[in-house]
Amino acid sequence: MTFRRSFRNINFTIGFFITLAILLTALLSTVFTPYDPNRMNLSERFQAPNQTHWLGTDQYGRDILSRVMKGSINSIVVGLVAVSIGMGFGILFGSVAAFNRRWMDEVIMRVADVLYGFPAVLSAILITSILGPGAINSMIAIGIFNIPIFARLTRATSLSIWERDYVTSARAIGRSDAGVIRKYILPNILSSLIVQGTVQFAIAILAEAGLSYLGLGTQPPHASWGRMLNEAQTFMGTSPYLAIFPGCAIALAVLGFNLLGDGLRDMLDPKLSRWIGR
Amino acid sequence: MRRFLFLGSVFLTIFLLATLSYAQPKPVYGGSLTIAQGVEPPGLDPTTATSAAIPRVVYGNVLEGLVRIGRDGKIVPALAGEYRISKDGKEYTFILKKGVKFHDGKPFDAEDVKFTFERLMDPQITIPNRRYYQDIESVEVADSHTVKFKLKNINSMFLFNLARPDSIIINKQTADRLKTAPVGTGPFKLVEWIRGDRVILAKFEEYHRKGLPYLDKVTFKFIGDPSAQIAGLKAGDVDVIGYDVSPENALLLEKDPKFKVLNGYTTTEVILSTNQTRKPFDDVRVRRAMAHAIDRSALIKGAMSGYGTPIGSHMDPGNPYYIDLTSAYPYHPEKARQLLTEAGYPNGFEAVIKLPERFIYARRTGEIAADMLSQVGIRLKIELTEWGQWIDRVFKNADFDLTVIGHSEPFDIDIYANPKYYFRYDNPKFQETLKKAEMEPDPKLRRDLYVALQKMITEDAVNGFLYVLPSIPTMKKEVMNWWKDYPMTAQDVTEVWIQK
Repeated sequence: MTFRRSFRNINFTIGFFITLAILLTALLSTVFTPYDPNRMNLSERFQAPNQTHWLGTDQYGRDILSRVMKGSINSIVVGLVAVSIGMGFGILFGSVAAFNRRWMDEVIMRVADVLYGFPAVLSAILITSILGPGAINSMIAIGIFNIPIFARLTRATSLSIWERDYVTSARAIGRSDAGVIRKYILPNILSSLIVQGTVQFAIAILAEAGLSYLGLGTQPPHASWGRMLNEAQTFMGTSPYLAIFPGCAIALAVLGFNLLGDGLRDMLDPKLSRWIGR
Repeated sequence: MRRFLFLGSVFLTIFLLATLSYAQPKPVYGGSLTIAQGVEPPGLDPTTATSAAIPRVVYGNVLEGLVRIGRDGKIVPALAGEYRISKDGKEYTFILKKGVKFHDGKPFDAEDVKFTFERLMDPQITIPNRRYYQDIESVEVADSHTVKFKLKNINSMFLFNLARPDSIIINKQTADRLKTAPVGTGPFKLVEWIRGDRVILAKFEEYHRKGLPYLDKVTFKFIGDPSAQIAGLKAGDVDVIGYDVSPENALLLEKDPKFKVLNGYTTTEVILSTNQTRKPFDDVRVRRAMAHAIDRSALIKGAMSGYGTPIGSHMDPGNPYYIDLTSAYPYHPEKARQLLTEAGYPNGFEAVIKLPERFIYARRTGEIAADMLSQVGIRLKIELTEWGQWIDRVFKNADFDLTVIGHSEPFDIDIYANPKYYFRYDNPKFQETLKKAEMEPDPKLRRDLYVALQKMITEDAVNGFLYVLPSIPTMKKEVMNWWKDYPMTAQDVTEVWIQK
């Protein structure tokens, strides 16, 4: 499967370019934004989009383009950290459960079931209200509710692989359990983990926006798409562009990562591959 | 010349009559009014909890006191038809109105007054504002409609305190229902409180002020989201939004001929509360630097779209003792930096500002204040705090550096005399002067003392004194006689009527 061939998948192509654009914007915002995204300028409040402020200014006279750009790095970092936490611990617990089929499996999977039973955003609210609001705590919170998702996936996909002959032979020649997991199990389940990771990334971005909207995530004055939406709410009648641009950014990011995930699944999952064998 | 005079007087008469009839259209009876309120009261008893949401539903509507605050901020009789104050200022005699009935049919008499105040002074019951009643020595029933209050010492605030929602008159039989189903003497009786949704009141036919009220039914609907309140008003589900209209929405609705927006004052002082016991805020130079770093007029423009009156001390301009101290610390960032350097912070410092997430005005004011302070080197980390947590951590346990909040009780400069109050201001001189002011019978000298008190806290720059919240009640054009100003925490609808 070559890189060029993958662009024949329309979902992947669209998702890839949207994601790329957001990633580039996020990277760019670390070194350059047209204006300081946090600096207020009360004499320039509520400017509609114009030549100096392409997306207008908000209720404190801050440049919306700069804030949407800065908001993208915020979302990407939250998504990355949260998915890493979820994947890291999820793979660990899932592998242990699949390897030790006795009491450990029971304990881990039942705990995961309980966590899984909570709606994602609700558990994130619960966790942030214990840890206190803030960007880092919201990453942790979103990460924690990602753990059971990856744990279940890891366990389910690796169970059958433990039964394979090559795993048995590898164990027979004396490979350690950790070595087996690393060398034989993980590479075999990696594709489903990557697909799930991309989808969870989109959910994490949405969850972060939700938490910030509720005031539990990124704290002002730092730019966050969810927070921008919350602040724009009472200005909907007078300055709707305040809500439109961060709203579009959230929608675009979620769409991009979901399409990317869909495309990757089509390509990586042999059962679903309609075109790969052609 | 004579003819000219005659014609002139005819025109004048016509003109006067025309304006009079225009200014005072004849009230119409009947109709039902729905008022949107952002916060649902935690209970309906204004004596045992301090939430402003409680009096905004019940005070003046369901429950009444001996006296009340009129639209102009002056004390007027309510359940007491008249009152006399003895020469030494220590005895208040109230002649109660006759023919007043509670909603349960029980006639109102002097025993109810005695019961009410003995309950308020009863140490067994938790009364958050007991300080209002601490100077009462005894309440005596002279006859069925005369009550005598004897005070331990002169208290110039006594009558005003009787006009607060805390001093509503209840009867013994229904006192235990006060929190859930209050029975009062007001123009409306409680029909139903549907938790989480609304409180429904209906006209009390035997109300003692003749010809009142005009409305048949009043509903307080609790809608937390300001946008949903506006949507409700536009859709016709809501007739009035009494409080919490955001200024930007007021500006928008003002342009719509279907609605009217009144612009008055409240008694809510919005301040940048500063924890006096935390470093570096214990240093008066740091607090003064902060005062110099904040540009009030820009802040009011940014946070409130220009609505709101700047203040320089903890008193609202509607108060008779108010003096303008807004020029005490002019906006002067250079001076602020200089003061910080003197205090030993040439590079500024870092601190946390906890903002109650629920109140848009507080959030915006805090964000702008943080931005202004950052320009002189005071770097504030903003923490949006959920209201329950704010009450618990900031208000009850003083676990904060800075916060922004509006103090809605009228005439509340006495909070600075309480060293345990959440901003922990402890100044014996202030405490002494306040005691003197409260005991001073001469109005002129009393005024001087209250002026001195205002100056004292401005001198110490205790908190950042920012502005008084505007009252921007917004309603359908047909709603008449709504209070423009809110000199007391209430939404009194006794005289409100709907034009047909």
